[in-house]
Amino acid sequence: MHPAFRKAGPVSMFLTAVLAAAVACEPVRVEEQDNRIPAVQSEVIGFYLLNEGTMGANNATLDYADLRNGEYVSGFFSKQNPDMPLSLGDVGNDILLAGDCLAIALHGSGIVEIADARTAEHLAEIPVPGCRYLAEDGGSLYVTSYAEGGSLWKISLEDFSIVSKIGTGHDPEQLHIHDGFIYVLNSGGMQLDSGTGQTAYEHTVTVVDMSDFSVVRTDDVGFRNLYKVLCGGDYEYMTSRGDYMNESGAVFTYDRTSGEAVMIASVAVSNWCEYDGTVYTQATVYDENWNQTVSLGRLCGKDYVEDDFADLSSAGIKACYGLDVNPATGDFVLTDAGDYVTPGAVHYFSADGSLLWSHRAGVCPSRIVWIYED
Amino acid sequence: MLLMTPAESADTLSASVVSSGRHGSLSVRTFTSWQVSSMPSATVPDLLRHMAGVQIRDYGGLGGLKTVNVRSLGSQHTGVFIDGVRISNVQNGQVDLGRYPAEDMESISVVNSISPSMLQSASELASASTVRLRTMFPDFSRPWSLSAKGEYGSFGTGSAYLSAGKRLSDRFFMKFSGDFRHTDGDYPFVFRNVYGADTTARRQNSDLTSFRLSPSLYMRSGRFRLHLSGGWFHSGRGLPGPVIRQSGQYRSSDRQNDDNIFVQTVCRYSAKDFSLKITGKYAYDLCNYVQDTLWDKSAAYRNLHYRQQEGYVSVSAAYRFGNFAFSLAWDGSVFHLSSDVAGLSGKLRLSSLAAARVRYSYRNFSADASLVHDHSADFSLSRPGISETVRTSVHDRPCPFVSVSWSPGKFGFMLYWKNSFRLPTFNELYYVAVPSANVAHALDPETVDQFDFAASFRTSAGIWSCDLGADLFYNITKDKIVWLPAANQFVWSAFNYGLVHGYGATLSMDHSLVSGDFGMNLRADYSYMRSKDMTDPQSPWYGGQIAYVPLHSVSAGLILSYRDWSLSAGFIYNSVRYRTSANIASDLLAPYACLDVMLSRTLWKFMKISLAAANITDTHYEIVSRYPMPGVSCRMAVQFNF
Repeated sequence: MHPAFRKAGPVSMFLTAVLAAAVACEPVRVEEQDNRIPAVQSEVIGFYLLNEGTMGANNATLDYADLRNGEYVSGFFSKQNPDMPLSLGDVGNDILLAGDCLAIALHGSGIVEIADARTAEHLAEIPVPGCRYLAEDGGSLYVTSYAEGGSLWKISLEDFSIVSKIGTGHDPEQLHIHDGFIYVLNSGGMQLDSGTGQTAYEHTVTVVDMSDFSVVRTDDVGFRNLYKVLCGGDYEYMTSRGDYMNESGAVFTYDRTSGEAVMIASVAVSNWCEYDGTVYTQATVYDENWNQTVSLGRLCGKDYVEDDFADLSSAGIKACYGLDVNPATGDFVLTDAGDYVTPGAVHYFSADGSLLWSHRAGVCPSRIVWIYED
Repeated sequence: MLLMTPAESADTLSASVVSSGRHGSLSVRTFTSWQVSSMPSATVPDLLRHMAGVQIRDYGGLGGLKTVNVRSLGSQHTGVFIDGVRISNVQNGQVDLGRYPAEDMESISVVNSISPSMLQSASELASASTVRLRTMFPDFSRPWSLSAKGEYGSFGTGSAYLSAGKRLSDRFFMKFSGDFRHTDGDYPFVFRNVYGADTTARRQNSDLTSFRLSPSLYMRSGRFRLHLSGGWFHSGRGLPGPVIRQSGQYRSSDRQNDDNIFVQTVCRYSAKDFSLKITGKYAYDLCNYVQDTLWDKSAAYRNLHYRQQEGYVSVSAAYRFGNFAFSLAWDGSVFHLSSDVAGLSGKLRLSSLAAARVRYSYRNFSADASLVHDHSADFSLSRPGISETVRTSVHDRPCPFVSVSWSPGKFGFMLYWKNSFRLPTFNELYYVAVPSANVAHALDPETVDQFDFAASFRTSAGIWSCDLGADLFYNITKDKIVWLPAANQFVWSAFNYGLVHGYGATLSMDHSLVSGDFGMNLRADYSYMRSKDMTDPQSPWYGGQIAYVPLHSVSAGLILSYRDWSLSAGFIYNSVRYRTSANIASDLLAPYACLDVMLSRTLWKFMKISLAAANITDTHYEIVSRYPMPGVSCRMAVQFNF
């Protein structure tokens, strides 16, 4: 052996030993989890949970909670469609049950995915650039889209073809179909005024006559940056998000015939659901240090009342991102987006507000559809 | 001087005068010019991937953005210096290393502690870690120099490089260097899901065309040296976007055009016990971002121009007195950013860095301490009728460094603590929430504390020499700047929120053997890096390995030469990485190994022909999630050196 090697040998061995010790110290933890959940028996056999994912990460996923058999299946769509290399797609914005079909609007992908409602097996892919929210009526699917300056697309559920499209206000969000008319809420959230650079928020509802698919009216409701619409009891409730600076978000009622809006509360309601004529709401309130607190409430007629209908403290929710109610039992589901980048959680509360179970969800778990037995 | 790295020994006389030298290679890793030209790596970032503890975030292809990150501290903590002058991008703080040609480089070093040379600028002392690129200094013994290189390879990639120099007198040397490159970048990639279903496609809108013109004037007169250089760099590239499910084709059509013009000068005076360095720089950067060039109705057409100007002055002086060495340094800089983004008014950042350093050496022991004081202020400039000039923030922060070292015989040991911070970038301050928000959030600087124990061993015997280095380190990143939704789920803001604890070890070795016509160099680097996300104890992912940091990475480089022939190979391995702190299967990026080889032959002493193959095993992998890297590629080059 060369004399120099003899000198280097012990040093190398020492370094190798140090290295081995370091490696052995702490391996990266890989989480595995149990997929059993308590079974809940009713005519609702389970629910799909759409996880939005993050923009550009193609990580929208669909989970299925099998309430009848007590099993939670993460990434259900991927498992059912192993031959789709890019799986569900980018930014799952909305999900809807339309007869035997499941429609999923993938905003980042510009695709409305049509899958079988029971098996989640892929049926068709409809290109709708900038798609946002879905509604169904009379064998047609209606999709709002940011594309083309704000548009509403009509899709046939027979052959999944695009039938027609019309312009709405800028950046339309949710829509509601009632008695032959479609009410589209415009946000304008992506529009910049070229002069001031301020966001040019919309404050209008576009009313579309379904008989000839044309815009019949544009109602100025006075609230900026419209977002969600929900029908509960005798009222059509809408939310606005304000401008995030001077004008806070609000909940208001909208009169379908006159187009008039009446303020209920200046609370930025993020999520809501309707059960038995009552609308349950969830709002995230920020203090001056941007600390957030989740506040739960109810809309009863024209009143908003704070009401802790679910015991949030037991779930440790960090960023509430979705709310729904089991239409058969009145049980609540609240989702937690955590840090919005890593997988969040889903929490299932019984109708009396006590936590029944929690499970890991996907990234930004947001919307739920309930599945009934055949 | 024995352990001085070539970069440092090239650091004029000052290094030998003021630095005590022995612990020079501790926590420093270097590629020499011979290694730069012999390794199969084509670019500076490809070479940096071989350094222990360095991660290159590469978005794929020649045109894809490449940023450097040392010991998972974040790319904005890594200062990149070319000839001692910091390359800055105040806008997003990330330097695209792809623009610097490897042909110009005398050496490439990564310095984790602080450089052993006492003559450092205050910004060099302030950076958490530094990547130092040193360009060739001309050989005054020759009346002229000429070097040219032409290269052509896969995916429509071609480049031409020319460097010509003339000695004007005993004191002056003039050099001109320029290069042109183009790539179509349309490499094929395979995307495979966890069930094995795959899709094969070609990267689109991934092309790059760039050129660079750079004249330099060198002066050498006694103890005085001056290097005056300028340059114009232009590039136009496609931004191919992530691979996601889309209807029809992968159709991102976004483009980015960059123009960078700069003038800089470095003057040095070196005497026996005293040395002085004065540096000045002016740079103008224009970044033009065009979104949706195809006027696709699903996206919004945008054509934005960001103009950034930078003025920089640095003075540093070092003095040796007995066993003591002292240095003082001051850097002043002015950054100005303007854009045609509606509602975004001009931004100004003034900063002053003052540093003092002292070193005491006694026999083979030395102690080193420095303190950098950073004072900086940000302003949002007025726009007629809309906003007024406001001072948005002021930062005052001292950053200490302490080290002790001991170098008995062929060994060297060093223990150091370094505290450093980075200011929030203009992106983090102003591109938040509503695009019109001109009021900056009160973001604190992100701070890093590094603790390190370094050991080295160097020996040589006749034809053989060996360098071994090892580091054990622990670092804490506080007030990490992270993005969270603010006013609601639609609006995001940057916050001081994160906390990362990292520890690990790096090992490196460098063996050389030269015997007659035969020469061999073998380098190998290993790093173990555990970086834990300690941000939120309530999170299920608390303690998870942070995004994109492999637990293990290995690199090796082998160069064999015999007479006119040279054969080299470069190997890289990275273990599993996760795209977030959630260390679960759905967020996993598969481990990968890559092998590059190059064969070259020198003809008539002035011509070199080389044939290289990169990623010869055709590994399909990703460094950044959804940005596939190229598979196997070939290139050939002809180079002339006169």
